[in-house]
Amino acid sequence: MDDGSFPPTADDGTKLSFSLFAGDQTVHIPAYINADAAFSYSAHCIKPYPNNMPRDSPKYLFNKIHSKARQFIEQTWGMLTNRFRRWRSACEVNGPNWQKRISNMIHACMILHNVCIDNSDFASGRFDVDDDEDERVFDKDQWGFHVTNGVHVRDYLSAIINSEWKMRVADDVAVRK
Amino acid sequence: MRHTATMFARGETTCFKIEDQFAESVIDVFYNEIKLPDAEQCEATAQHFYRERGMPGCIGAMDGKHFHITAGGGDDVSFKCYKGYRSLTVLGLCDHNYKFTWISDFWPGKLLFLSRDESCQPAGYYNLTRFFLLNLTFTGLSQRWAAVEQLSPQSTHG
Repeated sequence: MDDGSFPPTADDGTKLSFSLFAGDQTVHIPAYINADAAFSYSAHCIKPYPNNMPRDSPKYLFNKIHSKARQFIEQTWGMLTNRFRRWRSACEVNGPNWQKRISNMIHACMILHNVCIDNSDFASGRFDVDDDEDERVFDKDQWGFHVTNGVHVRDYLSAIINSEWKMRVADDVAVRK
Repeated sequence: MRHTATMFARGETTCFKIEDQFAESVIDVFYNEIKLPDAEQCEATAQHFYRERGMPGCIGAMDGKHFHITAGGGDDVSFKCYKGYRSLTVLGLCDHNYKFTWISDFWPGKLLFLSRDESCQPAGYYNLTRFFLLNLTFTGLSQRWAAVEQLSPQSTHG
């Protein structure tokens, strides 16, 4: 977003990519992973903007949609811990090789979770979704050095989402009239 | 576990052994259940993320999870995570079906996630380890995706 042109160029190392029709132009979107604020910048890993953004700003909207999309993984962890209730509380482990054994057990539970989903057995009941309230707030860039690629991709996505949101709002207004 | 042992009239140790063997055999047999998506699945995930949540081009959501343990002796200081208890952490990547598509190795809680009081750790050390761990992870992922790219580099939805 340095030169202010739209769409900004998102030249990254991502192999997989998608194209999307936004209005009358086709934009190019690299494939990426949605991750929360604790991760590092990377072209494959998009994290939200730091700090609390003022409402109605483009970054606020991006953060909101980003966290909506991140609910998938939070719900997945909730389903896992509700399906195998052992992991909801402290698990007591002892004996030789306890680290290896407990890792095996968690890994096996994850595999069985996938098998259950394949056979359309969704864990019923209320999902115990972790709230992000007690998570650490990363109010500035801690790494001291940026992988600027990731920041560019994030700005690029934010621009696309915001332009599309404006279009959607305009459509709603037109429909109401 | 004690309940199970009483029900089947076996010792607790036997039950723990059976549990470990079960876990190992599940991993051996169903190891391929957690695998990275191919191009079609990537596209389905991206479409679903875009339609439901408005996020275009997203092929998965990633987060870490602390599994609360009471560590059994030895080097359990390195397992104390920033939330105050001892934990094993794992990073999981999931798609729109709530299925895991990739999980990382299991790490002690302190290594991957920062401790709350920064005075007790050498400056920048954990930041750097975490940075390099994650970048190693993603280089591995993108190498796997290089094979995906040859199948279908572009897809269209809108």
